[in-house]
Amino acid sequence: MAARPKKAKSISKKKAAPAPAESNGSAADLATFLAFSSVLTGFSEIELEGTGVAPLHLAALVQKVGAAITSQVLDGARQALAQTDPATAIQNGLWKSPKLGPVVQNLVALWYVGSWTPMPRQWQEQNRWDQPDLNTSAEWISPPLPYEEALVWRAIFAHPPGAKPTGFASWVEAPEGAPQTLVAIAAAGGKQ
Amino acid sequence: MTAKRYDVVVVGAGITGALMAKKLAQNGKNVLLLEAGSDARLDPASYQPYIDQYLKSPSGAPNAPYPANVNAPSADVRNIGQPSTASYLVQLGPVPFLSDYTRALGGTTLHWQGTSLRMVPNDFRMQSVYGRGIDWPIAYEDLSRYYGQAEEEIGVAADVEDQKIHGVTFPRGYVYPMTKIPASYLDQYFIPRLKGMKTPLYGGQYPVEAISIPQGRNSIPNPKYNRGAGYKPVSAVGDGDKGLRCQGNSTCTPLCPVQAKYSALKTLASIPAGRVEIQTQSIATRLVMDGASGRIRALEYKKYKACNGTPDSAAETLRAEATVFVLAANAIENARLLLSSGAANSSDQVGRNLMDHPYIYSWGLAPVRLYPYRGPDAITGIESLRDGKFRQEHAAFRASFNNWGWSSFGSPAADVWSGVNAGLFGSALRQKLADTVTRQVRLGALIEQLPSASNRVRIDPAYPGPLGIPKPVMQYNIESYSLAGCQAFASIASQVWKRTGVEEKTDYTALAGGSFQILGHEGAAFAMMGAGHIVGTHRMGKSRLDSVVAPSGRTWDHPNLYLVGCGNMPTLGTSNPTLTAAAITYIAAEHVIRDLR
Repeated sequence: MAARPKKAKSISKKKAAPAPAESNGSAADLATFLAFSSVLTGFSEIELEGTGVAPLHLAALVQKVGAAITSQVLDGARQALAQTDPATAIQNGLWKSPKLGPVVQNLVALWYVGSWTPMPRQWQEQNRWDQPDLNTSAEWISPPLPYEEALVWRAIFAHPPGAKPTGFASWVEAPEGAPQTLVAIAAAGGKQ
Repeated sequence: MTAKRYDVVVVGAGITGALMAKKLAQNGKNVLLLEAGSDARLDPASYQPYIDQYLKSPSGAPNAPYPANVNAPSADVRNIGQPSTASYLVQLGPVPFLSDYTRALGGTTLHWQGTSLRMVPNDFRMQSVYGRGIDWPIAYEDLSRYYGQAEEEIGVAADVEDQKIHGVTFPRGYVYPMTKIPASYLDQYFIPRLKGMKTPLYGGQYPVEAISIPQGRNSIPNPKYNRGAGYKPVSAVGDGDKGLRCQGNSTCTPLCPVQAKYSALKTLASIPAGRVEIQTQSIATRLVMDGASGRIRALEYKKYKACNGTPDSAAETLRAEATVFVLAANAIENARLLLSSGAANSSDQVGRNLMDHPYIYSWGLAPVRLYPYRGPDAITGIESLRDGKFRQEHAAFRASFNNWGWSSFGSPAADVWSGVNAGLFGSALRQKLADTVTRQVRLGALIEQLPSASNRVRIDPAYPGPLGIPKPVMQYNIESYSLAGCQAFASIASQVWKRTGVEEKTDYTALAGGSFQILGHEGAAFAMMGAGHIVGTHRMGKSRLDSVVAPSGRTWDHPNLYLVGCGNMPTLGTSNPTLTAAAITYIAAEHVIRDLR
């Protein structure tokens, strides 16, 4: 299977332009979204942009929670990113917001897994009961790319089952770039 | 009504039907091969939708990539929960039958794992050696040569020295077509640590050792195969460049995207041209018999137009005539057809003795990262407890070190969510996943089940299926012999974890619901699934009084009706049964060819 072309044309800017009233998927929003997602996922902006799924995830967010709430999330993101320690700012702010926190948590899972988990019923009743998400389980978003690019596989040094195969007998060795635990054990005289 | 007459009509285009049709075609016979599933063809364009469907909605459920079919539904583990009459398999319990199959060209080998083990000699004489179950009318030695043929057709990758256990023998100089699939990084942690391990069972001391598992997936061809003639791996159907090696897609079940894993599509594609007519979307419904002689005159089948929409009320009823008829559907569909026809059942054994392997896990966290979720799921197994005197008391089992972490319990998505729910995101979440998911280890065990007359497939006019064809009605239980085997496995697995420094995390009650059934035994509860090993509903025997077919596969009641596949097996032992089903199909093929002379 051929590797998918990686897009790495535009480098996003840390200082995003002022936000419009509602998110319309502008370049500025995408830049904010990438910078924010980098803090949320622990992967660099260039890695996230290379997956090619950032625009899909932003679009999914707008579709699932609406443009207004997406805009509020991005506003919160801009404020956090302007701090010296954005992660702590998110931890103490957005993450704990009863309204926006669950959205941000879903976004983390979307990046890591590639599927969107329906927002809790209570959240929907309070924030978006006009357009309820009736799914009872997580929904694969824009398949198959978000699944193939789901970050959990990178985090655990594996690959998405059924895609990006690693080659005959590659499973014999530790994955590329991962600590060689068996070698370490052997060096320690066979004791773990 | 068609007037064309064939030498042989074969029902079912899975592995046994395909092997039968190929063997008959090679011997110049004209064959009609009927398949209940959709009009797929033997080309890449028919396989690609399976890959697309998998990637659209990735799921390890065995039938997830294969389209639903309103006219020829498949049993599906996604519909198995509590006993129910709503699904295609009518589940009367007390335990639902926990396995499924695929009605499609290629059959259930589309989603099989590929494990290709021979049965061990004592599996064939359980009654005389252990006073349990029933003896086969044939011995391991009678099957050995046919196992060899099946290993060639499937293309088995294995180390013959590892397989010389429990009395299994091979012809002098025998090697498998391909060298063993190399042990995973994870396996290599456990193999040396189990060396010399022993466990006590009923007064005996048994080794607990890990060795390679024979697999029907392409590895490195063994130049010594076939007395030095070598072996050429079989590619994906219709694409000679694809699938010549397993490339580590890590999704053998439910499908191999490159077809490096054997499926019956490969056998179907290699049938000599012009001899076998394949008709799909054709569900066998009734054998038409001659009352006096018992000979089968014709097979009636329903041909439907489309797989989706509503059941095809205008499906045509057709009739195929032949000299010999071979039923190769599977143990459930063969029984359904025989019972619908009132055929082959003078022994009252049709549908009875249904068996599966209860499949049970034990799991934990290794002390170091072993990097699961890479390569085939089951490369290395504990095969040393497949036979022993303890089988007088409880089931034998075999267990494999699964390479796909805790994927059967929703990982790694579940780990992402548990991290998020604990307030983790960013680098902290990434680090947590790297530290924990990479240490997930799991043993999966196939537990032996014995034949029981009350574990059965029936049909009942109260439960009609699509096109008016009766649905299989399942009455099934898992007896204490197997549950005690589960207990022995769970205990030995704990010993393995302790010896290897793994922190055990087994929690069966946490698995209640979904594909798992929780069954109690002596105060303990075990969560189990089915293994997809559907066996025993038309067993072979020495006598027409207690069996449906002779060792040849010919039914006792009908001189021109043969049954093949897992349904013929009197007992199941601990081997995944496909290789044995294939081997006994080769025996039947010889007899069919002889009958046609």
